[in-house]
Amino acid sequence: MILKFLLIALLSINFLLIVSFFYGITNIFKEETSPKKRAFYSIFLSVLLFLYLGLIVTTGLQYLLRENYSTAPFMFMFFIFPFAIGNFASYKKLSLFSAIQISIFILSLIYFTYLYVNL
Amino acid sequence: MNVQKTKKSDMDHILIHRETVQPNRAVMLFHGLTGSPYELKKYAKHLYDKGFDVFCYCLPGHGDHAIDIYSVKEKDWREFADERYKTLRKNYADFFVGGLCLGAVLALNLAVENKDITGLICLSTTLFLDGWTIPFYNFLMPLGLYTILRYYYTFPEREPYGIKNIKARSAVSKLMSKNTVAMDNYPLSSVYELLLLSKRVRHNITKVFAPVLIIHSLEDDLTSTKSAKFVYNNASSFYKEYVELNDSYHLVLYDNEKEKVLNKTIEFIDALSYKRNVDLKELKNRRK
Repeated sequence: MILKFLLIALLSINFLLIVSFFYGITNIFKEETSPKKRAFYSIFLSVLLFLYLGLIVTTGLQYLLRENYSTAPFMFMFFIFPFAIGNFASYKKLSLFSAIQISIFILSLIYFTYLYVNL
Repeated sequence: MNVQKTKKSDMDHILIHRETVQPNRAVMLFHGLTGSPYELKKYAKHLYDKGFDVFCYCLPGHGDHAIDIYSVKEKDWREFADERYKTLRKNYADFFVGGLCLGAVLALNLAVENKDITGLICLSTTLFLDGWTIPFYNFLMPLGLYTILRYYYTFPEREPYGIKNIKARSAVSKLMSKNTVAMDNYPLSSVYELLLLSKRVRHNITKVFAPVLIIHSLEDDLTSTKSAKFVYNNASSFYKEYVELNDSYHLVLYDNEKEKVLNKTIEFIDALSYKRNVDLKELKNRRK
């Protein structure tokens, strides 16, 4: 039951993160947008990312407690990717790295859907 | 007198007060993060009047376009400062380096690598971001700092703009709206670079041997006195002076105690400068 709840929460946050991140890039993070609005939107994205990473850790631990070790590498990968991309990202290639980040979020959404279906 | 001002944009790109006949002592100052040499203008002028050549350069990523600050790296700042220092140092017997906020951190870093600096002037040194205006959601900052979000996250400049004096604050607010004194917002990526530089300085602080003057306000809104005390307690300098201000915020050069900052600076550099008995009357006559 807990795992089901966690996966639903993770799927929701993951979906919201993809939509918000994409919307931010295309509509909010532009020069004409006021700095205040950009700042608030960035905080909103940070909160979503915080929840996303927190849920990945919690869900991963739940799987480990159930002695299901096959999910751990994937959970670790999805946890570490935002930081790895952040490490290599540069402003000049921001579009490319943003696209990679969104792709990773989409992949994680697919994976979590697969986990939910096979629960 | 050769006052050189090169303008590439609305912001002063370089501000130099230089004697044709060199007074043999100089001060190189660095501005703060997203600031410009403009914020050091009056301070530099006072030092010039006391018989120093004064150099205030616009740091990489500042001055031209707001967009440049996004792609600048702390390495660019370090290399820039080092190059300027090496070019100028050989021309002077006494050479002081100082700065405000990021500028102070940069000056400390310069002192780590160059042992022949006569003295350091650290104003509102920013080694830790722990001032009282740092918001409650600061715990989310690592998520912004270490992910791609740092290129999207921007901090809007807002009241009190690091200034306690209401009159000065409104003046800066007006200047800011004209984009002549600083940017109206700054990206997290630049804060990330500042924190990387701060980390480097914290790690190497024991390699600082130059005499240091540390001026910090108790009410600094951006960085608490922890940064100043860290420098005071850990630098290996044979002479260290720590001045605490009671009636200012972060931008101590604009605030209620700017005269005190200036006087303490003059006292400090005069005490350390071999050429302190410069005849100011003669110097003024020469300038006329």
